[in-house]
Amino acid sequence: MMMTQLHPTEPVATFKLSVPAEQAQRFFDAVAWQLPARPLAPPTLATLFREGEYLAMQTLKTSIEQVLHGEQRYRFIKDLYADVAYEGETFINSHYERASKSGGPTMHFYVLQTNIKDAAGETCAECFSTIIVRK
Amino acid sequence: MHSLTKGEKIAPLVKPAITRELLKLYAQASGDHNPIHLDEEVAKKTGLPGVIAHGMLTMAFFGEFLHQTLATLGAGRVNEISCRFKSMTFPGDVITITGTVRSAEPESIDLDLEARNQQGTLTATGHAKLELA
Repeated sequence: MMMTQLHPTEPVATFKLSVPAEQAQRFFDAVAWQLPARPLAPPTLATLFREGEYLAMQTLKTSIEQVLHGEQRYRFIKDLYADVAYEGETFINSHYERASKSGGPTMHFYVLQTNIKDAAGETCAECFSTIIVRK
Repeated sequence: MHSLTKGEKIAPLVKPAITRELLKLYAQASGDHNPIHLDEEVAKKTGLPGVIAHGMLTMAFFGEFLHQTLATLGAGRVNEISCRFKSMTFPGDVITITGTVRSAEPESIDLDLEARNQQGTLTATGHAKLELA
């Protein structure tokens, strides 16, 4: 396994995003949310902030169908709301490789971090994704 | 004040069978249009046995489970949630989410989470920190 520490102080992507309330509601429908009482937004609404990861994949010259999702973690400092403007910054924290056990393509693991900030510049959530690129 | 104690099991959440329609809805809502979740041919070309569910769909089930738990405890919020994807989930799979109390304080609870399919195969593990109101 080879571990590469990249440049986590330099964002690989920055973006602005506001999730319309109707899209937040679609999110509940899409996960077949069974509880009658719905919070304002589900905790995994933060997955909509993966835009920075998709931009990072372009930097890594990776097509999305080569990508599997290995792990995801969210830490919420403040709740996220629909119809609120946020800014995101995505960093590639590290990269390592593993040979496929089944003889398939080499698996490249990238650990990405996206920080979501509000208009005041305060961090609302930290999102950590491990994606697996098969190439 | 809750009465949960370390090692206690939380009432499970059993989701309806995953359908291709649900995967389309989730792709539209989440913005994850990776064709391995939507297109059988593309999925097979990339070496997968067929279309697989989004990992984040399972994590969203974790989110629903946590809100179900919070609803029984009164009120509160999710401070942290993590999910490690262990095996693939396919259309037709029935996913059950379970939680076990890792630690409990008067105002916070740590839970270990699991997702299993109808064969009992572990598809994802996770951890959550809940803050109680």
